[in-house]
Amino acid sequence: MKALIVDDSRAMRMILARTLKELGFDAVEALHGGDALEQIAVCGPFDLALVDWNMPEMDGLEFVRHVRGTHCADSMRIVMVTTESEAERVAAALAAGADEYVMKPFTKDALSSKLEIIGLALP
Amino acid sequence: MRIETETLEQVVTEVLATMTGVVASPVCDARASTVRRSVAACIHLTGAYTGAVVITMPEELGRRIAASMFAADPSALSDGEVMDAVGEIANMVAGSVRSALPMPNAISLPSVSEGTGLRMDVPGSVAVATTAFVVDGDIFDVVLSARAGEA
Repeated sequence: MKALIVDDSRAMRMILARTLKELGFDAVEALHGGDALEQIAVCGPFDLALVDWNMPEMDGLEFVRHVRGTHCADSMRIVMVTTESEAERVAAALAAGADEYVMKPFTKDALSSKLEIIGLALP
Repeated sequence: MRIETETLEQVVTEVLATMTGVVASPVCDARASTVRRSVAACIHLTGAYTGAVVITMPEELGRRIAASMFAADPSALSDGEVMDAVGEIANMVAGSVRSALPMPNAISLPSVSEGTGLRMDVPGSVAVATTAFVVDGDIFDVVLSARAGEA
């Protein structure tokens, strides 16, 4: 399966890529929401996107709204991976079309559990 | 607004252990030495709570932490990669701490500096919680500040 990692921190992208590889995914990286849209157009379709919230240029919530609003990747599951823990923000992300939510810091098991919930766990 | 130092200690140790495997032990009455080359990362909080989280550490320690995040040799990392890693640690610490602060509040993108004699300050703010840690003999500190009048 193919995953898109959207995070402005290179260190975090490396951690997520390593974790996803261990879980059986091939990952492509994007620096922010706008970059992720380009990656979808060039390298898509993706099965999964792991999306940070606070990023320059296009933040995570805007990215989710754009993807769901334009139907440019309807089958792609979106998991927010962020430090945003406020209940209202979690609700806003889910309402915009995110499928799941993982709080940083996270463990491989926590991410794996969320992927299982949305039906993306590999055997 | 009051936040216990223990809360800040717990957040920092959890972030480092979970994301880097680095074990940081709290130490009393210590601050990061800025005589050596250091890295300092700042995250601003605005909203019902206005303040900042600042982490200051020796560059060598920042490099070791970054190495664990990048799964690379410390000497192979660029200064930019070290600053990126320390900024992301500050981001996760601020994101975790803010749940113990008045809501709603928003956090900024990280600002990170590197240099000798470095001490990052947030004008108009006062420290409300300060804590220091030791990792393999290197001391780093984390300061939560609040806008004067909110502390």
